[in-house]
Amino acid sequence: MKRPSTRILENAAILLLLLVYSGFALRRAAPSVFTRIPPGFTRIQGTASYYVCSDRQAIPREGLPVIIDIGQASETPAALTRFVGEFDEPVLLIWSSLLSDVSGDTRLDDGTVWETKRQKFARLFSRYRETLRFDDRRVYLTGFGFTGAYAWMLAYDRPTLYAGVVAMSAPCYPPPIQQRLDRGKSVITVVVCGETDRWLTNHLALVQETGKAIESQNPHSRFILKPVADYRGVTNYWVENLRYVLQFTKEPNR
Amino acid sequence: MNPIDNSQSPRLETPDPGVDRQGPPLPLRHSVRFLLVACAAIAAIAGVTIHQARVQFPPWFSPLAELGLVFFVGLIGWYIWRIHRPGQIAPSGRQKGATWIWVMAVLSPLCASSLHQFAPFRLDLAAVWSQSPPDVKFIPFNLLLTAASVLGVGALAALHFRGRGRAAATGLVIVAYVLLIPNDDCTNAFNRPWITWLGASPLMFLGSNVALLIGHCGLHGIEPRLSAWLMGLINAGMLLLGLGHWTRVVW
Repeated sequence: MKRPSTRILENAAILLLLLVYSGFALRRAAPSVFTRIPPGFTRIQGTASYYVCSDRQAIPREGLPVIIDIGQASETPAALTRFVGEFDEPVLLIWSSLLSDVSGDTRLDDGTVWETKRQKFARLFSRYRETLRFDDRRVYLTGFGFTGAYAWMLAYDRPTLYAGVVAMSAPCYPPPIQQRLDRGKSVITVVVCGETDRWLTNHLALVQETGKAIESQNPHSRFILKPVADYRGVTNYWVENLRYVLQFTKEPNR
Repeated sequence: MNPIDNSQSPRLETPDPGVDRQGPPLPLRHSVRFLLVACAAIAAIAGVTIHQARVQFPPWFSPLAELGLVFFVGLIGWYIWRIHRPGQIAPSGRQKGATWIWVMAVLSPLCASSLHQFAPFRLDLAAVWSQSPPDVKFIPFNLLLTAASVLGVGALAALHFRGRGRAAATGLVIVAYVLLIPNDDCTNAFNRPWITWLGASPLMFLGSNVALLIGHCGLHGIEPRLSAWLMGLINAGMLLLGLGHWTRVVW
């Protein structure tokens, strides 16, 4: 049998590498093809958002409760699938790429970034409400780590809009949180941290003080310190805490 | 009659320094050229990215990095030119500098791993892993690639010194192909455009890639000693960048 020439093998290797790159680009450009998320997609002022109903069998309708996941820069909307099928009722899940252009080195107390993002999220939120027509009384924000802190900051920025926030492994030092802890009265705040999280162990006093403050502001708020969990392991408790906040509906004039 | 007639007997060729030796063309030269061009393009994108994100770094970093990348792209261009310059290629296996080329080749992915604080080559890997965000999905692949490339290049070096020099040099090009697969989704300023386009970046092993390709060229007689030095220079650059990140001096 004649052996293929080196040149043919080289061309095949080059083609294969180009195909790998095309696959990566396609996966990035059209995640729904790979994750089977129904093609709920909107782009508002350059910010991409994806949405999906948590119950695949349910027919998405108006008036559903909504969880808005402030997505990480490195994430794809496929991250939404971690919540699909996890709730007792259909919930609209929105993944927002609000922070996708923020560098991993940006600090949470960077006032310029925060100002830009809070204004942008206000516009995004209005458009979500207009186009998706969810239940205004049951809007919940969530995120992990950096984005968890942002979800918390956004919730305290406009507390009248949200019923609850679930912040996973979120640092609590940013001024928009520390200077507005009293706003926890209007928003059920659930903060979950892992006891072996390195940041937490270095700032334990501040974290415990903040935890006490949020629990004192609202009887339904929770500060949870998971004994064995580390920074990353806290995600195992994400769904159960979202289920918890979903019980609560925004009380008018609270 | 002269008892020793040199005109009929074979004699050791002493190459005229002014005349190029003729040799076979560089094996896998199309792949090497393609990979070097791809690396030059990635380096150029990195240069633009660093320039755009210069405010995020110390003031000295951006000019230094851009200058380094200009040198790096120039180096790539020089090797592309050398690959296609006729009559410069010698068979692999016996040239001086091969040992140093293999030492630098093995060290190359190790130096690149300094960007991830030498993971996976550290004992507290589990602790480092637990502190990484859950949505950084390519890190396991990246760590696997790092470990496999160090072991793989080490195995190729062993192959070389057991007399399979050509196969070992071919292996370097295969490793260079694999290292060019996007493998890192850490959200730093360098990776950001790649994460936007592809979801992961091929930037981390860019230096290793070029070092391995230079090594392949060196093993086939293209400036073996200079190639070993240049590989060392690239490794040192990667190591300094990694240490700069680790100590938070750079970012």
